[in-house]
Amino acid sequence: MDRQFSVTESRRKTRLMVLGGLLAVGSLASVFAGCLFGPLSIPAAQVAEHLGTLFGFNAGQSLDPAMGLVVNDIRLPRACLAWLAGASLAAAGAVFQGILQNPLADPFTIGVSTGAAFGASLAIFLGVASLPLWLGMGVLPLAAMAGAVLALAAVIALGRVAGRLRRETVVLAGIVVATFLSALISLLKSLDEEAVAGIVFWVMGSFQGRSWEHVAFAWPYMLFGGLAALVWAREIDLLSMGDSQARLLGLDVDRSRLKLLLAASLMTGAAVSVSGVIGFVGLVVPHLVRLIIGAEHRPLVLVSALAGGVVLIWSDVVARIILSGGQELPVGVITALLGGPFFCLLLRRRAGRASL
Amino acid sequence: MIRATDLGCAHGGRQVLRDVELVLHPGKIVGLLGPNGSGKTTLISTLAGILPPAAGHVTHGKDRADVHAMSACERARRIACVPQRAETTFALRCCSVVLMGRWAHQRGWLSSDSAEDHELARSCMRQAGIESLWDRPVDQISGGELQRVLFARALAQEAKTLLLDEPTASMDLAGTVALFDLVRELALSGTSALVAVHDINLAALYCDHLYFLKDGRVAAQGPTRDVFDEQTLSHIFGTRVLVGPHPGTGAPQAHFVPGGGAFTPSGASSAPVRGGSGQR
Repeated sequence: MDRQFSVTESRRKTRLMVLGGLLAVGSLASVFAGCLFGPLSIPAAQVAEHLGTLFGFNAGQSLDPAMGLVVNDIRLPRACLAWLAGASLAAAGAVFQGILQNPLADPFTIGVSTGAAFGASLAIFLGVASLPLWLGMGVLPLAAMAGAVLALAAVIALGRVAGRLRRETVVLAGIVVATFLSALISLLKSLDEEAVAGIVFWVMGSFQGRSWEHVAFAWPYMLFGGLAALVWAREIDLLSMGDSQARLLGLDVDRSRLKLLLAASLMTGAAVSVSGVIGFVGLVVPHLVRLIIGAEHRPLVLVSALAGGVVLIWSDVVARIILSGGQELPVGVITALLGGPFFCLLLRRRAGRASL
Repeated sequence: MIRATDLGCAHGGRQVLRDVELVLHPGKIVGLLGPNGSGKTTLISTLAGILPPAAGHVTHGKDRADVHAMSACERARRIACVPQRAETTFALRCCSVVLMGRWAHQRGWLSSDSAEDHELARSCMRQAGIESLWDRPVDQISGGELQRVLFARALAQEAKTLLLDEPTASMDLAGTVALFDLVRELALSGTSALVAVHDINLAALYCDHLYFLKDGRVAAQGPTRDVFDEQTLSHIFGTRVLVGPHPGTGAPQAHFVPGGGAFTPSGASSAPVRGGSGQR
């Protein structure tokens, strides 16, 4: 019997490592693929050579510096940022679902994404866009992050019933706050007609025109939030069993949930602040990953992050090439087209299960 | 050992328990009986420390530590509780659920499972008879199996006090007997156990001491042989009950009487029972 158990456990470990390894390799391949597509067609071999110069490889031939600029300073940071945002949103979604015990929860349903978008919209309304680039870029994401945290605070305040956070009321409060903030965003739009395009683009999400500075701003927050979620992943397991169970097992439920909510909204705020609201990545990816590796949250958060990065890079690629003539769609449109039907499927399956 | 003194408990603005005095001694199995809505689950939740009392207090151990003042972690090392049911929102593996019982014991910032934790979880699952479920997702097992998983998790907590709320409600006969045998074994090694059960005959077979709850009060309590009689049972459960010896062990066993109806001690059927649980 003992041997059978150790075989089961080591087989599971191997499977996780193989999956993680595949996704890590897939992430690198996707970043490379993200550098291939765009209005300017550059052969893959040349893209590889340009990328090689970043690591000190020199092909010896004279490379076109304009193409080098396109590959290394436009497409590469964009792909990296898409990966980072996808990873953050997917990891945050896994955390939110676990601690709220709600398979339909993600940065949307608890209002954090819309809070961040409102912060950004308010900053645009107040004229941040007209500031010098370095200052505007410094302020806009900070405003988004402040909005995310404030929306979360409002949701927690509304969702607290008799001194306790309840999962139903948190989700309900999230919807209320998101709806209210969406209305405020619309109000800002109509007050300042010139900035409509900017706000719409921000709200639909896009990686257009993102540079290494955005990557540099966002990654420390994302890494910090991600590591916190991984370190506290066992607490998510306990919380996913419900409050009273977690309490019986020795967890300080309210404190644990609060710190995990903060970690997840830090990731969300950082992602929204550089890419706008991109929906459904945090919903779809953890679900698919759970089907493959099970619901234990440490591997779930890690694998979801890797998979989320890959998914968002490819969504961004599709958003770039689906329209002819060099126009691009907001990437949020692509993820919503993929995620909307998936959400309905989940809803129907849950309804079916509830009626049994 | 757990001691509840003058315990009162309100739930959603309604007074559910009042003036409850209860003691669990090491090595004893105590049964908690009573009709539906008499406050059994509320009492267990309060004793387990997850529901704050409205009055009185609960102490644990020789040091008389207040259960509601200690940290959740400390409490989980002293008291293990098997809830009536568990929500399984996500498909965690059974072994992960059992290993959660080790959480209160785990040190280190990753709180990861050691080889000893795995060994202990495995032996707890073996004791509960669910060794083969190790790798199965909890949403794919039966209700009875889930109760055994929760029981194995409580065993993994290695607590000296065990609170069980209808631990065999969805189990088959063999599983029920096996679980109660295991509880008796644990009691012999010094564990104190409180078991809320619906089946009063099961309680009479295994419990050393019985508490009867009715409308949130302890209506009767004492050693099983003293309190398990026709008068008390008929009064508590509101229907006529006959008591006879078990053919094997001689323990008292209750037999319900067809047409026993709403029982009133005086026999006066005209007196309406207000707020009685039998009326709900």
